[in-house]
Amino acid sequence: MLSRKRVVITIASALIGSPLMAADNPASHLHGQANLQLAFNDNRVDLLFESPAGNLLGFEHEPRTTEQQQTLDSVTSWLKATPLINTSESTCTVEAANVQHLGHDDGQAHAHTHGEEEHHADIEVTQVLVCSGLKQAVSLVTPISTRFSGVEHLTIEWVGPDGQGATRLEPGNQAFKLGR
Amino acid sequence: MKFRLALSLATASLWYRRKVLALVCLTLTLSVTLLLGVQYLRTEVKQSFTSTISDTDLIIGARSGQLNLLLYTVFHMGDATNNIRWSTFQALEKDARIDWLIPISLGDSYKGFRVVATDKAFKEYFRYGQGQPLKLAGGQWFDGIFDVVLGAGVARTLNHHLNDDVILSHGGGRTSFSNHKDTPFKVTGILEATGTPVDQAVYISLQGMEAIHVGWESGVAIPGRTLTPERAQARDLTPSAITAVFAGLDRKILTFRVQRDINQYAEEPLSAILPGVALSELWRLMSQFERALLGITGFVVVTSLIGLIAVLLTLQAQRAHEIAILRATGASPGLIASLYVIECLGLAVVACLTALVLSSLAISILGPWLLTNYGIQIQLRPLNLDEWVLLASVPLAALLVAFVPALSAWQKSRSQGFGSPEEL
Repeated sequence: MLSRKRVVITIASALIGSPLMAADNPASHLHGQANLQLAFNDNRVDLLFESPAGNLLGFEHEPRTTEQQQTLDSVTSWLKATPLINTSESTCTVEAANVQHLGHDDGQAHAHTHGEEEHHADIEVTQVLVCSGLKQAVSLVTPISTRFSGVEHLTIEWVGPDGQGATRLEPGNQAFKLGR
Repeated sequence: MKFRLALSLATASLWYRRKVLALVCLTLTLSVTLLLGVQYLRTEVKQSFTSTISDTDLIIGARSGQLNLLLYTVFHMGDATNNIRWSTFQALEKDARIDWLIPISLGDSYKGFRVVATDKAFKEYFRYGQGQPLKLAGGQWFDGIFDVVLGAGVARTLNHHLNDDVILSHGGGRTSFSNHKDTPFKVTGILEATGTPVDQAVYISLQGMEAIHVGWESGVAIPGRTLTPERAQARDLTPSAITAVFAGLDRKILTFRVQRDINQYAEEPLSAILPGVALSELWRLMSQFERALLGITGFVVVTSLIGLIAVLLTLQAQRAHEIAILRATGASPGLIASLYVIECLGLAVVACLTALVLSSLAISILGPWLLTNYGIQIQLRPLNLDEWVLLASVPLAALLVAFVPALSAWQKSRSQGFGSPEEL
């Protein structure tokens, strides 16, 4: 049975919050799954890679041991320095990169249930790459699934002058066709 | 010298048996045509599916899954979960990154075909296939409130012509009992066939959609409150809501950024999807179908090659008499063997070339006819690498097959002891 005060608060928050809340659902967080978005323009690629931190680090909380801190540092520097996609001749170089750690406390859409004390965090990587011969490339490779065994399914979406497309890489697959 | 002799002997032999060989060549040609046809169809089905919509960077609708949004806006399957406000459309129009917008409003039908309310931007910016624009087979794009443009499939199925009167039905059913009888539409244009769901819809203006629903607020027409065509002209018919918007961007590289901004639009929950990405996902769901087609291609390849081998072996078996005479007149075993090889290879190459010409002719002649009459789009295009490999496998198989009678003839010739001792 709800108290009157609680009902008033619920209604008030629904009224105040509805326009903003409706457009602001929390992002989904699915362990084992990661997304890579690529936007091509001539030889330039803007990419955004999003993954639950657990896929890349093995943990999602703040680093508690030196070992965990080292893992976090090495993964962060790898994500900053390594082009997350490349041509088969490895012609891509990183022009700019940014790695963000986004923490969540609750309200996540989980694929499974967790203990109450668990926190969730995502890692978001943006890179600008320059790849010579990109226009002619029929297929591209990504080192993500070989570097991080926690990424079981990698969804790749792309847009470019030749249109849009998407694919899903299963474990062990590195290459994908652009379907032009 | 020996090669020229072999060639002239092979040509003479082929010419002598031209009637039988023509039949054999015909069989081979048909096999190769079938082989190419099935493989071509397999790739074309995928191509035709993924080019249902082109050059549209984003489809924006009420918050829902990307497949749902794609299905009801592009394929006219299923229904919208919610509408989006007209004010949202106006806000999108102000976004400098967006080059063009096509508003669409769904919900009514005409004898089972969807009614799509839109504006002039649809004709101007909607693209399908490899960026092909919509063309009118006759008449012009709608201008007035009660003008309607029919998709090619609708006009063909219902045998409609320009200036026909059309009464739209309320809701989406094939047999709707609530019709907008007070507000008939006039056919002002008929679109050319595209081989896409565009053919299976009728197009009216947003104002037209608004006008026919005045007085229908409760779901049925309230007598006296519906508009007459004359009264509609004097009324402001700006819609309050639409179903979805197709958007094109100036710079494609911004697509994901604009998508993200729209998905986080504070005024209204929206979903922006990338049609190309959604189509890829939809095709992945249908990968079983592609696998089935691949299986059929595999069967056709195996049967065609076995058929080819059988025909060539039968043909060579009938040449025992001719070969014996050639040996008796001094032809060497090597020459006899080369005769077999030249013949098999020659037949296979001729069959492949004829099949190529035949397939190209068939596609260029039947393509437009299939599109107009059945809405199936198959276009002539250069062969891809897989198809060239498949085609090359035919002469290669023929070459391998030729070695069987060639070797046996060579061995027989040696054991029969014809010819000079140094040749043996």
